[in-house]
Amino acid sequence: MTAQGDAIRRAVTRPVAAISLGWLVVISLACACAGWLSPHDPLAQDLSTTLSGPTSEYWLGTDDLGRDVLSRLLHGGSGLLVTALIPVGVSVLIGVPVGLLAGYLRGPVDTLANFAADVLFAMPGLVVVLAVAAVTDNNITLMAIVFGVLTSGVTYRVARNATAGARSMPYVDAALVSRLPRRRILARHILPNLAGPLTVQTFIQYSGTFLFLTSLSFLGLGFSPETPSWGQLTLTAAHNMYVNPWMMVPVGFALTSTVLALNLVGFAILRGLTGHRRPRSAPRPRKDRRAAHANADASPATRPLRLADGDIANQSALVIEDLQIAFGAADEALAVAGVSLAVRKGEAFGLVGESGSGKTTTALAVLGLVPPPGRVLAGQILLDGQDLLALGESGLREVRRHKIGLISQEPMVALDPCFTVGSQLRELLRLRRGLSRKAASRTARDLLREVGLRTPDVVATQYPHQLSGGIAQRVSIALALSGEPQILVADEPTTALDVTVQAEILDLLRRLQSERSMTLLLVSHDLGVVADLCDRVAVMADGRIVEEGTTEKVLTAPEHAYSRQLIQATPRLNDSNEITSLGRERKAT
Amino acid sequence: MTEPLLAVEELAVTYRKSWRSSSVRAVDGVSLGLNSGEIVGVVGESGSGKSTLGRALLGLTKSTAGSIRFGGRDVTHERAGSRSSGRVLQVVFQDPFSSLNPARTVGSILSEPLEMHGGMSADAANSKIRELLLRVGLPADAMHRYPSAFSGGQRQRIAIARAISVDPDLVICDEATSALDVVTQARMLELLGSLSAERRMAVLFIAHDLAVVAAIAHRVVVLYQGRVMEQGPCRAILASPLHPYTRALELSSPVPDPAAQRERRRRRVEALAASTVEVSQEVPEVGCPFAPRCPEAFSACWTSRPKDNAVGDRTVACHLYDADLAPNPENRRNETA
Amino acid sequence: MLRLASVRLALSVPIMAIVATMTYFLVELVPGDPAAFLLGSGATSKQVSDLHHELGLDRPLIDRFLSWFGDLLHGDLGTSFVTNESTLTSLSRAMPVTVSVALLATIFTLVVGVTLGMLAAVRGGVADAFVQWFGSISMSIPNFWLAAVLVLIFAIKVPVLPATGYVPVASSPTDWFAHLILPTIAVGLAGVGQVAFQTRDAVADQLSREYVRTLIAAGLPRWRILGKHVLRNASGPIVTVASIGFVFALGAVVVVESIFGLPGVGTLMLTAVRIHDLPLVQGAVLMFCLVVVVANLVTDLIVAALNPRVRLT
Repeated sequence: MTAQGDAIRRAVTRPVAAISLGWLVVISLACACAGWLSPHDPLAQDLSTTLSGPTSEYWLGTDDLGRDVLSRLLHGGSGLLVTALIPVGVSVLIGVPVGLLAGYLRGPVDTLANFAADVLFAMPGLVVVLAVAAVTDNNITLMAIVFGVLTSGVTYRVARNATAGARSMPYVDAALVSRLPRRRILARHILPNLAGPLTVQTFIQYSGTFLFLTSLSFLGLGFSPETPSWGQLTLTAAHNMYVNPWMMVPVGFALTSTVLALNLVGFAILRGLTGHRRPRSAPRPRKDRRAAHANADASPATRPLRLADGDIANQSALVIEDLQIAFGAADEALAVAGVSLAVRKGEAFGLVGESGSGKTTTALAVLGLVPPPGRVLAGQILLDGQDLLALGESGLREVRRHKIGLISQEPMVALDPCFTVGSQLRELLRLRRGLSRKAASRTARDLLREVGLRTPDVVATQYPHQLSGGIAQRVSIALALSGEPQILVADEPTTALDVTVQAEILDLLRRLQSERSMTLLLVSHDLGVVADLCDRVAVMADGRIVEEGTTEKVLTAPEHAYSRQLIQATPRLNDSNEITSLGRERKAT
Repeated sequence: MTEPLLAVEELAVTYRKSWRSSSVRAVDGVSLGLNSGEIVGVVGESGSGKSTLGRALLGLTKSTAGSIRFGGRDVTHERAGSRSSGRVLQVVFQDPFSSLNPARTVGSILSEPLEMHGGMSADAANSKIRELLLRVGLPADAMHRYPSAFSGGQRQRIAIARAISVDPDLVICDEATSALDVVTQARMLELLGSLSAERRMAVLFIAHDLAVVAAIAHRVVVLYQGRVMEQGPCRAILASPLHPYTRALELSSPVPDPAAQRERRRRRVEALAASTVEVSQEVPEVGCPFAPRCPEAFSACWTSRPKDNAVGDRTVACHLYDADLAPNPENRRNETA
Repeated sequence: MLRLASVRLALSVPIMAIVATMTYFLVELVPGDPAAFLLGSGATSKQVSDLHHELGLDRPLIDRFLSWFGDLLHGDLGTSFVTNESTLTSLSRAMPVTVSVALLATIFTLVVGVTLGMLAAVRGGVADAFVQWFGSISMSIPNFWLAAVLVLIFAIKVPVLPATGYVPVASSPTDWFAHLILPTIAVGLAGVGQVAFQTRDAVADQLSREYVRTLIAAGLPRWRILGKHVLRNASGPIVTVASIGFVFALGAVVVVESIFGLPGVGTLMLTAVRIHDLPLVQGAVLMFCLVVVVANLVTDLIVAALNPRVRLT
C-alpha cells in the first residue's frame, strides 16, 4: 500500500470525516431505495392538506399540491447524485491522461496543454451549459458532458502538477539512470503520487458538480418537471414561502448536509495528505514555569556559573545560565539540557556542534525566538544584568530593537521578498532609531556602504531575488546593524555561501566587530569558520556544552573525546599544503 | 595507451530559462577523462556548472556540443532512460530525502537496478540486497523498512547501496556528502573510497568543498563558470595551485587551526583582486571568466579565451602558462619544476 | 510591468478568438434544429425550410461562421430571432447588473474571507476551529436556497432592506447599493470559505518563513509584520482564489437573479434558452467569456503588482 493510500485511510477514519462518510452512505442508500422507503407516492396529490407543516401522516409536511415532502425528497436525490458522476468522469478521463503527458514530457506538449486549460478557464460553466440547454432542448446528458469538458481544466492542472512534481524527484532520475523502462517508472514512481491529489480533487469536484446540477434543476433545466428533484423542490418551497416557509427547512437540510459531508471528506483527505499545518503564532519567549517544575530533576550537564562572582557578570556582555529547552513531551530528551556560558564584552564567541546539538536553539533563545513547539523550561539569560526570559512581550521587543542583531543562515529567505532592500532597511531604521524619512534614507545608504557595497543606491532599489548570495548576506548584516546592537547573533552566517564569498563575509564581520566594538555570538558547524573568527569557543553535543575554552586551545589541544572526533572528521587543507585526508589516514593504518 | 573509461571532449550544455531570456552556458567546453578505479573530484562554486556536468554525463540533461564516450562508446546523445547496455553507470545524489522514494521499502529501492540486469531469482536478489546492506554498514532487516525510518546518513548509505548493487563501472556522486554532518561525512567518504578500491569502481565526485574533494580524490578538476580552470593530480594541485582561481579557492577554505588560518587569511587577501560584490555575475563573452577577480590579469585575459596549457601532468587554462602570451612565461614554468 | 501587461493582453486575444469559435460551433454542431424549436412541433417542413432561409441557416456552415465572425469583429453579435432587437443592445442593458453583483460579491468575499483567514492563522485554537466550520458550511449552502431564505427574512420578518428589485446606480447610488446587498451576500457567501481557507494556509505558511523571524528579531510590532509584510506575501494565492470566486459568482448571479427580481443577463438568458433564441444565447456566452478573460487578465496584473518576483522575471 502506498504512503498516500495510508494517509487517505487515516484521514477518513477521523471522527468528522467518518461521520460525513456515514451520512453520505445513508443519503445514497435512502435515495437508491426511495421506492421502498417512501411512505407515500411522491406524485400522489392530497389537495386537502397543502403546504402543511410536519404531521403524523406527512412527517415533513406537504407541498402546494399536497404531495408528501419526505417522499419527494427521497425520490429527488438519486437523479442528481447519479448525474453528477458524468461530469466528474468526463473531467477525469480528459484531465488525467493529458495532465500525465504534459507533466511527464513537458516542453511543447506542456505549453499547448496549459494553453488549452487557459481557454477552458475562460468559459464560465453555467452560462455555456445554459447555451447547450438551449440548443439540445434540455438534454441533461449532453449538458453534463459539456460541463465535464469545461471542468477538465482543473483536473488537468492537478494531474499535471502532481506528475511534474514527481517527475522532478531525484529518485525518478535514479530510476532513469538504472534504465528502468518508462512505463515502469510511471507506474511505480509517478502514478502513486497522483492518487492523493486526484482523490481530493474528485471529491471537491463532485460536490461542486452536485451543487451545479441542483442549480440547473432549480432553474427548471435539465431534469424533467414530472420527477421530483431537490432543486425543483427548493423552487416550490421558495414560491410558497410566504404562505408557509416550513418546506425550506427539510429541502435546505438535505442539500446542505449532503454537500457539507462531501466537502468535509474531501478536506479531511487533503489534510491527511498535506499534513494539517497548525497555524503557528510568533514564538513565546517566556518560560513555562510549571513545566520547569516537572523537569526539576533533569540535572544540568555542566556546573552552573556562579553569578555571585561579580567578575563574570561585570565582564560579560551575555550570560546564559542553566538554560533548558524542550521540544517534545516532558519525558523526551531536552534539546538544550542545562547550558551555561558567559560571553565577554567585545569578544567573538563560537558555538559549534553538529545538527541537533542544540547550538542554534541556544542562540535563538537569546532573542526569545525558540521556534515552536520549543519551550524554555528553566534558566536565565542575562543581558546587561537583565533576565531576558523574565521580560514580557514589549520589554523583549525593546531589547530586540536596540540591543541585539540577528544574522540568519539563508540570506535570501531572511529578507522579505516583496520589498526592496532600501524599503526594508529604512523601515527598520525609522523604527529602531526613530529617524525621519530623510535621515533614514541617508543612514541606509551609509549602512550599505559600511557593509562593503560600493553602489548602495543601486542595491537599495533591488529586491532580494535580484541579489547574489554574498550581497544578500551583506544586506542582512546591514539590517542587523540598523538597531546599533551591542550583540550580534550570527546563526551559520556563511553556510549557504560559496567559500570565496564566505571569506569576504568573515572579513566583514571581523571588521564590523572591531570598529563597532560589538560582541559576536557565532553559531557554526564549521570549525574552520570558528578558527577564523572566534576568540573563544564552546563545543555542544546533545544539548550540552562538552568543552569550552579559547579557540586556540579547543581546536589544537581538545580535551573532550567528542571535540577530538569533530576536529579529526573535519576535512582540511592544512597549512603546509599537505593533504591530511582522513580517508587515507584510516586506510593506511 | 588504452582509451579511458570516460572521455569527455569539449562538452557544452546551454539552456534558456524562458523563451525570452538569452541562453546560459552552464557547461562551456569541458574536457576530462576518467580511468577505471579512479576517483576524480570535480570542485566548483555555485554557478560553476558542476551539477549540470554531472547530469549531462548521466544523460539527464541534453548536451549541446562536444562528446561523451563511456566504455569506448559514444553516448553523447543517449538519454538516461534509453541508454543501451554496456558499461554500467550509477548515481548518488545530494539530498538523502528526495533521492529515495518514500513510498517504497528499502528492499524494493535496492532491487530496482537489479531488475534491469535481469536473470536474478527473488531469492538471489534478496540475499544480494542483504549483502549490500551489510557492506554499507546497515542491518539486513533494513530492507523491510521505509526510508523515513532512517537518518540522513543512513539514507545516503542506502543510496550508495543502490548505486553499487549492479557493480557499476562508474558512480557519479553529486554533492553526495554535503547534506551530512562532518563525522557522518568522514565515514561516508571512507566507505566510498574503500568501495572504489575493492571493486575497481571509478567515482566522479562532484562537490563545492575543495577539502572534501581532497579527502577522497586522486585527481581534481576545478570548474569556474562552466569552464575547467585547472585539472591534475590532487596532491600536486593542492601543494601548489597554478591557476589564480584555484589558489583563491584553496586559500578561501578555512582550516580549523587559528594560527594557520591567520596566515592563510593574509595570503588570501593577496590572491583575490576584487571582491564578489564588485563583479557582475555575467560571464565575459570572450576572455577568461576569472579575469575580473584575478590579481594577475593582463590585457589578453580580457580578449582571448585561455587554452588548456599542459604544465607537467596537469592542464591550466590560464594565459600565464601560455608561452605565447604570458608576460614572463619562464618564471611560471619554473615554479612547478 | 508594462511589458508583462502587453504580453498578457496579447495572449488574451487568441484565447478570446478560440473561445468565440468554440461558442459558435458549440451552438451550431450540437444536434438540434433551432427553426424546428422556434416553430414548435406542429410546423410543416415547408415552414421549417422557409424559416431556415429567413435565418440564413441554409448557407454552408463555414460561410455562416465566417460572416458571424466578421460581424463579431465589428461588434455585431447578431439579432435576436425573437425580438429582432440587437443582441448587443439587450446584453449591454443587462450585463452591468450581473457584473456589478458579481463584483460586489467578490469584494464581500475578500473582506470577510481574509479577515476570518487571518484570525484563524494568527489566533489558532478556537478561532481556527470556528473558521474551519463556518467556511465549510458556507461553502455547502446552495446559493439559490440562501437567496430565498434571505428574501423571506428581509421581505417579511425584518424588512430593513429591499428584498427584491433593482435601481440603476445612476438614479440613486444608495438605493442601488441597498438593493444589491442581499444578492451580494447570497452569491458571495460560498466564496468566503474558500478565501478564508486560502488566507489561513497562506498566512500560516508565511509565518513560518525566515523573513518573519528577521522582522520579529528586529523588534517590529506584530500588527505591522502581519498587516504589511505577511499579508503582502500571502496575497498571490488569495487574489487567485478570489478571481476564481468572481467567475463562479457570475454563474451564481445568473441563478439567483430571478429570486431577487434583478434584470440581469441571467433573466435575459433563461428566457432566451426557453424560447431557443440562439443569437442571444450565443451573444451572452461570448460576453461572459469576455468578462472572464478580462478578469483573469486583471488578476494576473494584480498578482504581478503585488509580487516583484512575478513582475520582474
